[in-house]
Amino acid sequence: MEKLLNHSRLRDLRFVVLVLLNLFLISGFLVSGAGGESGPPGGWRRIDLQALQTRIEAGELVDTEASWYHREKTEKAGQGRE
Amino acid sequence: MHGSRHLSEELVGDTLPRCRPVVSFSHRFLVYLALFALGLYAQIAQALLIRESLVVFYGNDISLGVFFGSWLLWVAVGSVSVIWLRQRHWIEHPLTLLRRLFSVLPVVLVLQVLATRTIRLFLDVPASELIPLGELFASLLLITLPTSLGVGLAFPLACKALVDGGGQRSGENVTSDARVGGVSRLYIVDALGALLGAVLFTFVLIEWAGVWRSLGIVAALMGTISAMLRGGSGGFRLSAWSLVLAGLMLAATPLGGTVDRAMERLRFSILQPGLELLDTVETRYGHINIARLGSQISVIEDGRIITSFPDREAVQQEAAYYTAQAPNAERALVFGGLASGLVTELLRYPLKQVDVVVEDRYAFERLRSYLPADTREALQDSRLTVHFSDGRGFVNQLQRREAFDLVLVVSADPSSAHSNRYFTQDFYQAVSKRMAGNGVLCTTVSGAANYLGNEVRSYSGSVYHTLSSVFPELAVAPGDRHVYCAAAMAGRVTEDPSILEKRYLAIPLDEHLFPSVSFFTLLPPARIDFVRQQLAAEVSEINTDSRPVSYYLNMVLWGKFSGSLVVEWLQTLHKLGSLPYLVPLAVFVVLLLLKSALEKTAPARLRRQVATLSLVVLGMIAMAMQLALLLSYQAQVGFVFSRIALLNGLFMTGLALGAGLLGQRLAGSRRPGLAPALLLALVAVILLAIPALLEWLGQLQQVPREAWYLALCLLAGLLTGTGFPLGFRQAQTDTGEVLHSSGVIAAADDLGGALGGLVTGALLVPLLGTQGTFYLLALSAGLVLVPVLYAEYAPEPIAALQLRGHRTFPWGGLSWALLFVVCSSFILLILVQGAQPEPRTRFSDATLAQLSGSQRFEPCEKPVPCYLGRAADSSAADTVSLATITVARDIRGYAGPLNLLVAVDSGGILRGVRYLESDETPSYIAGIDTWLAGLSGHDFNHSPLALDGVDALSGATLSSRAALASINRAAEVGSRAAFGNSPIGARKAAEQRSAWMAPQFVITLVLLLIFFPVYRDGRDGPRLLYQAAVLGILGFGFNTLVTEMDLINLSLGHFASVVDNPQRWLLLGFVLLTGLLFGQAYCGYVCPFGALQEFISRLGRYLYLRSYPQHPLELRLRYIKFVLLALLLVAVWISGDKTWLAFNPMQHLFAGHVGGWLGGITVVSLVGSLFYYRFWCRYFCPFGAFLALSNKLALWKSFGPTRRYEHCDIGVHNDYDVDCIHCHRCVTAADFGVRHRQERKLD
Repeated sequence: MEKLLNHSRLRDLRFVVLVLLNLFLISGFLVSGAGGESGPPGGWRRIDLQALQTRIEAGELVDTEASWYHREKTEKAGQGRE
Repeated sequence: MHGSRHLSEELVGDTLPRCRPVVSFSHRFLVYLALFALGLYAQIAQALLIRESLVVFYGNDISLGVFFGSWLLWVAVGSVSVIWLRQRHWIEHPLTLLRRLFSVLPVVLVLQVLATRTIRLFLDVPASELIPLGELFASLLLITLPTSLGVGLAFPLACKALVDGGGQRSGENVTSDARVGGVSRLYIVDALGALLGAVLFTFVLIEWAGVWRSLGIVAALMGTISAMLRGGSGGFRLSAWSLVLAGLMLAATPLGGTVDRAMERLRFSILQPGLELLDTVETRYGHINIARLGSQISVIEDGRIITSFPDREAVQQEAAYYTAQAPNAERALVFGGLASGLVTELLRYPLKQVDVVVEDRYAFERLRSYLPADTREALQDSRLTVHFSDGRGFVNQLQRREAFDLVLVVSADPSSAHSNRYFTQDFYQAVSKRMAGNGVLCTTVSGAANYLGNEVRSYSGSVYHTLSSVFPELAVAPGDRHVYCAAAMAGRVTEDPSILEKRYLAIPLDEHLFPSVSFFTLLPPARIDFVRQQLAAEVSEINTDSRPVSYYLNMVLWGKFSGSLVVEWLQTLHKLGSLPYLVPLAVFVVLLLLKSALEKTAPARLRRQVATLSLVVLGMIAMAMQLALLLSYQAQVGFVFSRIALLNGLFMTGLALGAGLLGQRLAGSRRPGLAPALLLALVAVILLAIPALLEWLGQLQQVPREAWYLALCLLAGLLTGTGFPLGFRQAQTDTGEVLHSSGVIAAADDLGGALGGLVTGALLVPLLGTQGTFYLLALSAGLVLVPVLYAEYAPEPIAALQLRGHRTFPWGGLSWALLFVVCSSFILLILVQGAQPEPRTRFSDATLAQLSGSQRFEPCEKPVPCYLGRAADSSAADTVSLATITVARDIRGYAGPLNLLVAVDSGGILRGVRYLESDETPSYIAGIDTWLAGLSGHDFNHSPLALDGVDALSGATLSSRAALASINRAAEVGSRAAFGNSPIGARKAAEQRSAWMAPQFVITLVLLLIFFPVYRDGRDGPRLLYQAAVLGILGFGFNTLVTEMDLINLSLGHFASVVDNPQRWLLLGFVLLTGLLFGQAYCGYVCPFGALQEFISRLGRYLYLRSYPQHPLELRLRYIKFVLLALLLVAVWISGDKTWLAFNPMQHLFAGHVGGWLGGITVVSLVGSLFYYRFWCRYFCPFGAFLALSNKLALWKSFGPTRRYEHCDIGVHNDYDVDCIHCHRCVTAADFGVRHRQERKLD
C-alpha cells in the first residue's frame, strides 16, 4: 500500500480522498445514528428509575412483599394485576 | 504450558544448514541449567500470580481460567515474536538476550505482584465492591503479560544458544530427527524444572518462606544463572550479581520479613480500609487476615470478611433457632461457627456431644489468641471435639452408624468452587446418611431482607431446591441471609413461631437469653409464604459436584452487583447448552473443506492446515481438561489453592513426556498423517470416560483420590503433548521451512490453550458442569477428525467447484475469516432466538374478567389461541380475548413485536387492552398502560385504530403505530374466530385483494419480466432504457428497492406476510432467482440507485471526467464493501440495532430523507460516480457485496450474453469473478475506458 501511494498520480489521490471521505461520513453516521432510541444509558451503577417504576406498576417486579403488612391493599392490588 | 519451546526447530535449522555443532559440555550444561531454571521460575511465577489474583478478586474461580488463558496467549505471542525478531536480525546473539531476560524477569515479577495487589486503585473499585467481570478479564490480561511474554521469548533463545554452541561448528549436516531430538531434550529439561518449581512452591516456599522471600529466592537463582551464562559486558555482569545479592537479602535476611509485612499491610489497606491488621496466614485454602475494628475482630479470607466476633445477640438468636428446630438434640455436627461464637453458645444447651469441623488447623491456632475468653474456655469443654479436616472428607470418613441430631453448615456461601461443595446434592446426601431419623440440617445462604430480585431468587432458590431433593421437609426463615432447616421426618422442622417459641422455652437452660417473643418478629407468616412461593416457583437446577450451578448463579449475581454487562450473555449461554461452543469449530471445519475444494489446495498444504487446526483444538482440550480437573479437584478435595503448582507441574511434565517420547515416535511412523487421527480418537474416548471416573473418585478416601487427580493431570498433558511433534512434522513436510512452520505450530498450540483456559473457567464449567465440559471437548476432538481424515484421503477435485475457485482479491485468508465470522454469528443468532422464552398467551380468569367484563371464559386453540367470554347466565360468547403476539408477530415496534392482551366484544367494541411484554426501551413505553387504557371503548365498526385519530406515546411513534396495528389485527382475527365475522375484516379483505391488483404490484411484475429479454440481449441501448424505467418507476415512483435492510429483516425473521406486501416479496424472489441463476444481475440492471449512478457515470465520461485509479490500489479498495458488510451484519445481530446498516443512501434517497451525514454520503457517492464508474456500488455497497457472492453460483450463466473480459475496464477477468456487477458493457465495449478529446487511445 505504501508503494502504491508513493507512485500515485492526481487521479489516485482524488480517488483515495473520495474513498476516505465517504468512510468518514459513514463512520459519522454510525456513531451519531446507530443506537437510535436507546433511551437513558443503563449499565453499571445507574438505575433506570422510570423503567423500574413501570415494571413495578406492571406487576413484573414483586412489591407484594411489603404488602403483607396490609392485607387489604394486597387483595385490591391483585385484582388490578396479573 | 510454556509453549514456545518448539521454535527451537526453526532456529536450529536456520543457523546450521550444513554444520554440525560441536558444543562444549560446559556450554551445553549451562544452557540446560538455564532452561531448568526457566521452567522452575515460570512455575513459581505462575503460582504466585494466581494466588495474588485470587485474593484481590475475592476468590473468584473465574480468575483461574482467565489467568491461564491470558498466560498462554502471551506465551504464544512471545513465540511468534521470535520470528519477527529473527527477521530483523535482533537475535544474532541469543545468549546475550537470554542473559538479559533472566536478569529482567525477576524484577518484572516483583512489579507484577505489586500491580496485582494494588489493582483496585487502578480500576477505581472501592473496597468491598466486586470488580466487574469485564474489568477482571482485562486486568488479568495485562497482569500476566510481562512474565509470560518473557517466558515465550526465552525458550527458543535458549534452543538457539544451545545449537550455536559458542561458535564451535563442524562441517556435517544436521538431520531433521536430530533437531527434533535436541529440542525435545530441552523441552523435558524445562518441564522437569517446572515440576521441581511446583513441588518446591507447594511444600516449601509458600509454607516456610512466604511470598517475598520466595521472590527473593527466585531472583537470586535467576541472577546467578544470568551471571553464569558467558559473554556480555562487565556492566551487565555486575547487574546480574546485584540481582543475586538483592535476592539473597530478601530471602535470607530479616529484610524479607519486613517487606512481606509492609506489602501485606499495603494490600490489606486497599481491600479493607479502616480495619487494623492484626495477623496474616497463608493456608491451603486461601489467604487469611485477622483484623480489628473497635472491639470486634474480623476474619478476612481472600479479601472478604467471612466472620466477625463477638456478636452475642446474633449467635444467641442463631443457637435458639437451630435448637428449637431440633428439640432434644443430643449430638451436633457444626461446619464453621467456632470463631463466631455459635459453638460457644450451643454449649450452653443440653447437648451431649458437639463435633466441630475446622478446615485448617494452622489458621485456627493463629486465630485462637484473638478469640474471646468464653470461646477459648469453651474449647476446654469435654463435650466439644474439634476436627481439623476438610469438611467433605470428614463426612465421607464418618461411619454410617453415626447419628447426628443437628447438623449446621454455617461456614460460607456457595460463592466459589470450594465453598459450593457444602451446598451440593452429593454433600446433603452424604450428611443425611449420617443423621438420626429425626435429625435436622440447617444451612444459610445470602438473601435480601426487603427485595427478592431474579438473581437473588435464583441463587437462593438453587440451594432451596437442592435441599428439597434430599430432605422432604424444609423450613425457611427469610432475612438478609435465608436460613433453611431440613429434615427427613414429617413435622420435625416448622415455620410456626409459636411452636418454635414453645420448643425453645422447654429447653432446660440456666437462662433463656434470647427473647422468645422475637420468633414472631423473625418469622412473620405472610413474609415466609411470600419467600417460599418465590423460591418454589423459581425453576432452579439442582446443585451437584459435577454441575456446580450455584457457583454459576453466584457469577450472575456477581455480575449484577458489579454492573457487568456480560451477565445477559451468561444467562443466554446458559440456556443454549453446549451447542454455541461447537458452532465456531463446525463452521471452521466446513469452510476449511470448502476452501480446499474450491482452491485446489495441494495435499501437503492441506495437511499442514489441518495439522494447525488440530494443534489449536488439542491445545484447547489440554487447557480445558486441566482446568476442569482443577475445578473438580477443588470440589472433591478442596484445597487447590495450595496444590495448584503441583497439579500444573505434573500436567507440564505430561506434555513434555508426550511430545518428547510418544509424539516423536509417531511422527517417524510410515503414515504420519494418520497418527493425529488416532490420537484425536483416543483423546475423544478418554474424555468421554472421565466424567464417570470423577464420579467414582468421589467415593474414595482423600489420599487415593488425590493421587488419581495427580495422575489425571499427568495423563492430560501426555495426551495433548503427543500431538505437537505430529503437527510439526506435517507442517515441515509442506513448507520445508522450519522457521515459519514451527513458529505457527507453536503459536497454534498456545492460542488453543489460551482459548481453552478462558472459555473453560469462565463459561464451560459454570454453565455446563464438569461432565458437560468433558463431553463437549470429546465432541470437539471428534469434529476435528473430519478434516484430518479428509486431508489423508482427499477425494478427486470437483471441476464445477474449482471453476468457481477464482480469487479476485489478494486476501484469501481475510475473506475466509470474514465468512467464518459472519456464518458463526448467524448460526449463533438463530440459536439465541430459538432459546427465547415463548411469549405469554395464557391468562387467569381474573385478568380476563377485569379486562373484558365477562364472567366465564372458555379457552380455545383454533384458529388462534384465545378466550371466549360469556356473561354468568349466558351461553353465547360476547367477548373474545387474545394476545396480539399470536396473530401479529410480524408487526414490529422499534425493537420487535409487542405483546398486548386485547378484549373485543361481539359488537366490535374494544373492551380493553393491557401491555404484557416487549423488547422496547422501557423508559420510552413507560406510560403505555395509561395510553392503552385510553383506547378502551373504540368502535371498530367505525374505523380501525390509527395514529391520526389517537395521540402516540411521546417519543415512541414506531412503537405506538405497532401497538395500534397489533390491536387492529387481533381484533380482526379474534372477532372472526369467535363470532364468524369482523368489523374490519371486510375492509381488510378488500385491501388484500387490492394489494395483488394494485398498479404498483402489476407494474413491478411487468418490469421484472421485461428484465429477462433485455438481460439476454446484453446490448447497451436496451439496458440503458430499462435502467431509466427502473430508476423512474421503482426508484422515484414507488421507492421500492431491495436493500441490506431486507437482508437483515430476513435474517432476524422480521417480515410481513406475502398477502400483506406482495410487491416486496416479488422483488425478493426476483433477486433470489436471478442471483441463483445468473449472479449479481440485480445490481447491473434492476437496482434504481445503481441505475442513477450508471447515468451519472456516463455523464462523467461524456464530460471527460472519467478516470481509472491504478489497478492494485483500486482492487484493494474494492474490498471495503465486503468488510463493511461482514462487520456491520455482525454488529446488527449482536446489538439488535438495525441502524448499523442504515447508511446506504439507496434506502433513503428516493423517499427524500437524505439530510445530515446521509446527505454527505449521497453527495460524495454521486460525485464520485462522475469520476469513477458506479462509485458507491463498487466500493461501498454492502448489499452489492452480498449479491457478489451469488457470482460464485450463477447456475445458468449461459442464459446471458457472453462476456468479453478484454473489454472490461473494472478489473473482471473470469466468469465467476466475485466482483462482476453484470453491467454487460464488455459485451459491446460500450462505455469502455476514458474518453479523450482526440478519441485516440484508451488509458
